[in-house]
Amino acid sequence: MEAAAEIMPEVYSYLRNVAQKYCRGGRTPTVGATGLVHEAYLRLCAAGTDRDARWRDREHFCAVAALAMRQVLVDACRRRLAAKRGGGAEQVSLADAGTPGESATVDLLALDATLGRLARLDERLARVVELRIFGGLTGDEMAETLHVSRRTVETDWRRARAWLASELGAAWRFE
Amino acid sequence: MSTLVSRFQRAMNVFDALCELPEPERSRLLALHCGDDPSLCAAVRAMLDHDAAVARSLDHRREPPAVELLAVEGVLDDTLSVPASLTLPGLGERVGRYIVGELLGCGGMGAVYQAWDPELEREVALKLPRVGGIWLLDEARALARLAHPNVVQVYDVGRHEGEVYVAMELVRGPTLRQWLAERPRPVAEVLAVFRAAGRGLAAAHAGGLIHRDFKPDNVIVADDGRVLVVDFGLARATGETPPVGGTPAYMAPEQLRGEELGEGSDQFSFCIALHEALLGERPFPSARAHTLPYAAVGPVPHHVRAAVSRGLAIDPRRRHPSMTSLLASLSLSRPRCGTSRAAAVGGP
Repeated sequence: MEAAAEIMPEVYSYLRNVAQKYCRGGRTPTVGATGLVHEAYLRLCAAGTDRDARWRDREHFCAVAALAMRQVLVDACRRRLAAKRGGGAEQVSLADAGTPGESATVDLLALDATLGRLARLDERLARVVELRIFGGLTGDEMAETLHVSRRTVETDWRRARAWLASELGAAWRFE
Repeated sequence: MSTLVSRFQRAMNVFDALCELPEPERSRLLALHCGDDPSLCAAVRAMLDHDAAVARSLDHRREPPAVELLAVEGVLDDTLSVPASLTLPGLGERVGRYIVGELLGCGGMGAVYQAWDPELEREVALKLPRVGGIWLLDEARALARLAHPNVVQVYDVGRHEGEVYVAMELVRGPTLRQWLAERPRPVAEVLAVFRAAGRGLAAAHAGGLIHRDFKPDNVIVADDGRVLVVDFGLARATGETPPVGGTPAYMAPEQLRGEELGEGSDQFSFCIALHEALLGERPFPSARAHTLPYAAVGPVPHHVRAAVSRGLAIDPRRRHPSMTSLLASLSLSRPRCGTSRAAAVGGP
């Protein structure tokens, strides 16, 4: 995705600034990462604001934004850990909106590192996880972005999720 | 194929084969497929267990579950003091003496903020390098020494938490790309704007500065009518392999090859942009060219075509000797005689 390199800094800085505004003053954000990506899409790409027409469509934007969002959160976790100097890991919640009340907590940096390993083993699987968790793309949108069938995306997601669970072990649990 | 990858693929294949099967069939076949490798067996077992747990709680044949990643309170807190290369300033913070305002834009070069200078009581544009990039103080200083109506004025250069920042004139108006896309423009108007931008480039060359990333996105057609070139010489980050910075579509061949750049490279980029503006498409279209919606209206004079062609010579030595010379060729109302005409006609 050649164009991503050019566009990434803008999306990164936008997401970071917006995320900061939500978190400033110690408020717990009520919107998740995918909400931020959707808002970024409206602000940066919706009719009238994207005068250069850099984005083919929402899928294209969200695919890039997913990468940026992952980076924003990982960078933030690293900074926080560096400041703490050795105290614990940053836990973030992965709330499963499909089944209210169920959520998993996972060490974000462990997830990021494991995703990195997954990418070296099977790039498409890692991409599916990234698009889903950080970009909030639906199955159809992921199929569109990755140029595969919906069925393939579902299989990929099922495998990737299982593999992450086996790798992250105790760090990945449903409460 | 590496061992890790093949083991991974084997695990995936076994998982695929077994995940739809009930017990005790599943365990039996798992032992059969992976009995030779206990750790692989354990990994696939963990995968199958997780999959079964998920399947119990939701119907996995419909839409994959919506997963929301919630940030823990304070994770994105910006009050930590960290090197600027990891962070961008937030609203109201200070960079040098400037008070940071709204983020105006962000490109391959870095971020631009609207900011307030409390000393001189005026608005400025504050530029910071993008995350992971650094600017060279020398180039920022060289830019500050330029004073020309077609070059955006640099007011101040400094360091903030180890990073160089540049405070410059805040200019409001569309980029040249946006201006060209607004509506079809007459050839004469397009030429006038490009000549003004060209004068800015020429002034920078005279000051020893090469732009390195000239393109319609780096020229502002200000609301007050001025034409200003921005983002000079800042397309470089140390330690990166060529081609660095720059936008491939406008890059000169020597730039794409990672060779030394000269004033001729800016000239090449300028001519690509001018060709595109006049004719509605680039001379060497690439797969992802952002072509303009309109070509300029009216006939393009022959001497202009010839001057642009010469500027697009692959060999830098065959281009115009300078931006000034190119600009002179663009303003003639009739072609000159002698060697320069022969060169123009014989150009690529």
